[in-house]
Amino acid sequence: MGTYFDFSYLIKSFPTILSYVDITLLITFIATVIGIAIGSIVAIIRIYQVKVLHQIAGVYISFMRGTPFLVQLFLCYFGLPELIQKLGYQEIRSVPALFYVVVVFSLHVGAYGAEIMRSAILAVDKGQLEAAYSIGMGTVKAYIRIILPQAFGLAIPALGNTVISTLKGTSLVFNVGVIDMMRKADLMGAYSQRNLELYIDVAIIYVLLCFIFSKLSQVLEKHVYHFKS
Amino acid sequence: MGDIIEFSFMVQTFLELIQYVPLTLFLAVISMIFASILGLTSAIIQIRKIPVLNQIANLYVLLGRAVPTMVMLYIVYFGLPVLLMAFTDKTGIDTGYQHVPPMAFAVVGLTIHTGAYLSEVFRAALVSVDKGQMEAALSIGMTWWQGFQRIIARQAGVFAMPLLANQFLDLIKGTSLVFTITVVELLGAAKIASAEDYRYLERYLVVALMYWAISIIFEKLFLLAERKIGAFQKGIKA
Repeated sequence: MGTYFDFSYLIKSFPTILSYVDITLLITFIATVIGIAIGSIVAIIRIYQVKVLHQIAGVYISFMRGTPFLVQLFLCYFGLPELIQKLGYQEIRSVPALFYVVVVFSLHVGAYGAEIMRSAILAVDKGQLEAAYSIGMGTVKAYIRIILPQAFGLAIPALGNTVISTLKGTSLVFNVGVIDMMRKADLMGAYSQRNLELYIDVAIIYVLLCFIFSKLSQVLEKHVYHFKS
Repeated sequence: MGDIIEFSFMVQTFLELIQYVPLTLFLAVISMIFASILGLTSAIIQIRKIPVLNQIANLYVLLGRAVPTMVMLYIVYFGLPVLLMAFTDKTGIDTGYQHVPPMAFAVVGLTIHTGAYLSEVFRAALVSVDKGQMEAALSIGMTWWQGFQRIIARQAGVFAMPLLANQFLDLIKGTSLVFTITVVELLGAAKIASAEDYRYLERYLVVALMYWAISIIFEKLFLLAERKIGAFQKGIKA
């Protein structure tokens, strides 16, 4: 078996691959935070049917959900600098790839988050907003203090799923030159010719991360439930 | 040049790239068919709790859903030849592992990935049908298989349809990854063409619009299919 599959190499290279997990987590974290913020704003626009913005939000969500993530990433990473260069700003090439990755991920999470937040906000009892008004809060304050915190609680399971799929989506960022676990595995594989073992390492890390994230989401859900009752 | 986005170039690109759409759809459809078989088998195993196989199915669903598509494709791309090579060396049967087209790896990878999700879809759909339905089928003398295909599967189908549609749309989008294992499909073709003339903006815009159009068309088609499949329920629900 040894010639086909080197188990000791799999073990030996695991720590090296694992040391690149930080970039994966960083992208996931930033994209989640910005994405949920975008999602909440878009959701409120859709609920209040703000003129023009409402239509733009509809197109945005449809586009983000209807095209593959990789195409969005390429469009942003290769297309955007081209556009900005044509507009006359030449320094754009010095912007690191990671910036585009985070932008695309945030927009991507934002589109999925918008649908989740919309249903979550609508699920919060209408009386809550009325009660907030009656004690003298403005709409913005009522949303930030009363509606959104409750909506987040309701949205946790769905948002958890989105975070996990974002986490899995980070396995694509090596395509635009960000050095993450996949890229490292690729580089090490080119040297050792044992790509399979390296990619299995990557798979193990992703499985563990998914497991941790889904547990975290469950714990958070329970915590929120506890706070409500 | 002059213009930031040259419209005539986009039209030309569209005409060049549209010939890759059948390949993208072919990949999606064929993977969907295999994944459905795999998923349904796994779901039935889980529901009937067949020993040993049940544990394997559980593990498959768990891993298949936790491993990103990209990683899965690479594991298949690098792993399958090794497996076939080992098989050839051990048994002497020539599997022709040197000549397997990359397309086959793409289909296998996408099938394994989608099958795990479909397994959950089918399981949920089958569980959603009332237990009494199967008991009733058995009581009038049908075998388990007859009851399953004549009574359960049709009702479960209505439940599963929107989820299947979602999964298929995901799969279409997932096919955009297979260019990394050297299959030239829609995105792959665009990437190759862009490497020659560096006109990324227009070309990727065209690709994005094409995927968008495909998604919207299939979404509408599935909506129609859902209504058709669910039509029999109208008479029952009073």
